Amino acid sequence: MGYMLLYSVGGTGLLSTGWTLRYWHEALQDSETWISLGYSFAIGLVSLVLALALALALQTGLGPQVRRGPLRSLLFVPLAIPALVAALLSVELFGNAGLLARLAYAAGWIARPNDFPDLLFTAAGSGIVLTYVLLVAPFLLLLLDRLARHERVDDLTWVARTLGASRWQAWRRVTLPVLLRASMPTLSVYFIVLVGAFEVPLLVGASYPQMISVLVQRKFSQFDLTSKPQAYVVACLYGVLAMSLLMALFSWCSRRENEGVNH
Amino acid sequence: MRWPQFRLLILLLLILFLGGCDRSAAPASAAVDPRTQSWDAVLAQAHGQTVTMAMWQGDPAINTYMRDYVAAHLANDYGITLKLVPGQGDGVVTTLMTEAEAGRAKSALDLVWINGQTFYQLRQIHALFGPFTSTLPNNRYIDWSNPFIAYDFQQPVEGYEAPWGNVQLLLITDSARVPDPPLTPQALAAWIHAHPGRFTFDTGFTGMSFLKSLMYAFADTPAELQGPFDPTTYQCLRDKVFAWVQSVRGDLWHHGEAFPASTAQLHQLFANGEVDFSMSFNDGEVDNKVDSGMFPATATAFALTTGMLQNSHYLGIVDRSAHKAAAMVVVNFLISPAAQLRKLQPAVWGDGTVLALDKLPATIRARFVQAEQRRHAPPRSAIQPYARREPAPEVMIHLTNDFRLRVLRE
Amino acid sequence: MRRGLAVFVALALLLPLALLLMLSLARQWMWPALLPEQWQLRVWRDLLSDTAGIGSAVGRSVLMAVGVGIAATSLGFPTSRQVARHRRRGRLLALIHLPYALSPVVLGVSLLYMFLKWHLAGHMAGVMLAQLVFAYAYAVILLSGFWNAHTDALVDLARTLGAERRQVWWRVLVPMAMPMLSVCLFQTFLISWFDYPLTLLIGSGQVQTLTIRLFEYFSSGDIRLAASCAVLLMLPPLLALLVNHRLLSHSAAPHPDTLDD
Repeated sequence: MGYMLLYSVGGTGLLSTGWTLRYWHEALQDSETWISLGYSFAIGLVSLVLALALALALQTGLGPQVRRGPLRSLLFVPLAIPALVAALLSVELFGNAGLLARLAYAAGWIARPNDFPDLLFTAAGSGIVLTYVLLVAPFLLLLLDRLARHERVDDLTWVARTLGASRWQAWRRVTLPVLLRASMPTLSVYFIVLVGAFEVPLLVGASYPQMISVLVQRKFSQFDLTSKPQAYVVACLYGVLAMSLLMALFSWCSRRENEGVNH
Repeated sequence: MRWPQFRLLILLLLILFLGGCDRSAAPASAAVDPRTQSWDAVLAQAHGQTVTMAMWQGDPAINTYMRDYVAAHLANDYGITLKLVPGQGDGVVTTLMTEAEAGRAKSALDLVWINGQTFYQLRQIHALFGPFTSTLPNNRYIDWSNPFIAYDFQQPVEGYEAPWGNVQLLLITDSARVPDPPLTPQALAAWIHAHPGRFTFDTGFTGMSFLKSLMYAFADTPAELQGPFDPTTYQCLRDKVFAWVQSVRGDLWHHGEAFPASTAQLHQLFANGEVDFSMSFNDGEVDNKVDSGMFPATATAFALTTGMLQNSHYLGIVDRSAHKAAAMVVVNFLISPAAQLRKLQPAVWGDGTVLALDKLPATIRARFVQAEQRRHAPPRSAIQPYARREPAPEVMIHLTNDFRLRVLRE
Repeated sequence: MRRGLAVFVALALLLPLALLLMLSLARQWMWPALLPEQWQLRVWRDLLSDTAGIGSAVGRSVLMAVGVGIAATSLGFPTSRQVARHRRRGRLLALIHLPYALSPVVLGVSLLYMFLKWHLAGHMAGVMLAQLVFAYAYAVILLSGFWNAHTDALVDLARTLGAERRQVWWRVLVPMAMPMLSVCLFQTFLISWFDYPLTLLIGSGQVQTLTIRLFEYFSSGDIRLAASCAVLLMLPPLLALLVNHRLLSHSAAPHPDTLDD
């Protein structure tokens, strides 16, 4: 990290001409940097929330089925899919000439690839979110199930129900908080991974705005070698922002717990 | 309970210690400069050495050629082990730059497969060994009078890299879907309007080269783009090209809101049937891909009559390489008539040769002409009139930036 | 209804594999065909013809991935406990995310610089160390969710019954955490197995793993090649999964937590 910082102010690096804040200046003034940062965090958040929602819904819907039989092992399959392959599959499934589009054609709903709604390559990032949700939800489902058993959620809800809570209340006030608290660290790591990921946004995202890792990579491989520090600037910026966010998140979490304990 | 961290620390220190041990700075034995020796001495020195070559390994056909033909011959005839590692473009530049920054005396790479952009960057950081080409015996066959070979992106090669192959940018299409391909930018624009969503180009090297080719179309004379970079000419032509792009943008793939990030993606779209055109810097590529079934059997390639870029790709020797003698022998083999002939065949690679046919003995010359039989791509003679030289490297820098600023972000 | 949903989800999970397999065997598959119009085995034949190269690459990948997985999990488990019980737990946990908060490319180059200086670049140990940084962080974060009041209570109980520290670990905590540990092992194994940027940069091309060989083919644009490479790359993890499934369902210690297995 220190090396990156140094490079960005021209302290080191093969073609540096001495200390300068020029690159920081350029990057901070460039709106693309900020838009990309905001965009990346937003996409990461939306993807994670939707994946979590899907996982929770499936957990309630499937219940004990998750622990038995082939489903349990099958849920591990998406884990064995690296990001690059996931992006590839996404294009083959959801692209305008992909499998879903061809099914629509067979059903007579569309006539040409153009007619199929644009799921991928949109500025809104729908393709990226879609890919992430499908990739991450199965693992979250597994995680939640494991944690549910570990935290003895069934016992806790049983207690709540005997005390008169409805199923919805029991879920909302017992299951949900317990699971969220226990899974928070894993969720946080997935969040950061999604925000900083590279292959999926590159292959499935729009040309503008770009997610942060794609932006850094682009700036890094620019033709003009003397502007390499720009990439380091953006990377530093992202690193600092991400870390601050995480720090805040975790401090808030542990503070809430301490309060809970004191009650 | 500090023991886990303690153990980790010990582990780390152990590794550092071990790591430091087996790389103790045995300085590259002050090797004699191979250029000062006779070729026989170079061969003798090269025998038994291992050459690490960084190349793009994304095409199995090329890999087979290098592995089964080149490496085999080198091992049998010269006793040299050729080690192929993945690496090209910025990857190579980054590795060499970082090595220099970390103060390494010996580089991990000996030979690199490069072209104009990378050449420019590597010379900037003084990472190339040279001049060396004039000391190679097979150098006499190279067509140095051909400006497409002697100049790499308008930079004189000056012996710092050896030409290896020659390619021309072509548009690829399916004659079944597009029976009458448009041959000028104007015709292309008309076609795009008539068939919305069926054309696009990538934002990578090939796509930008396509735009550079369009610059030639809008220039009054090709000479405007030769010579050192001229900002005024560049800006004028750039604006015309961007105007063209904006005029067709709404009818491009995905309404021009997104462009494929690489040529690989573009090929996928074409093979899938989502767009009707692709483009490639390897004019022989269509034959390869039709043979492998990736492109439909009716695929063809063509050049815009207003001009398409042609350039060569080269081999460079790393300045901090510890095996320069062996590397030179490898290069010499790769530019030999036998190796070039084999490479020319569409079934093997289809890459244009850099040798001057008139300098070759008559028997071999005939075989060269024979070998270039293409079935789907036009023969080189047909597209040569439309070949244009690469403009100065600054054009690429500015064009890529400006495209992003003015077109993608508007 | 539950069964129906389960079946649907199971099929949906299998679809990617089926699709990849079909893509790898297709010769031509253009719009709007629902199934490939022409089939071929050629891609697989070509790919597998390089048996020597592929064999050694697989071996290397497996060795590295297993090493990193075991190291990360076994180091991460105790660390996660310390983190979970620490007062400044929140901040520590956040700090551990650092490797992930930095962009892979730039991080890779920075690490390369340091590793070059320490003479670690260009061989397997260096690459493994770099991968370990990520894997270890992941392990700590994942396993920190295991520690709660219940586990503390059990530890206290075991101590009261006279168990020593080592016994507490190996006879109580590890068996209890086995499901999570196996997930962690699998994940950290995958972090190393699928790694491309670190292996490429820090290995300086000298360390040839299966992933390195295969990722290059993705840039060729030939989706059939990419699909077959993907299948090949995913096969070992999937096999490991199969083995793991058997191990898990026959997992020994009867324990209140696993009664419903």
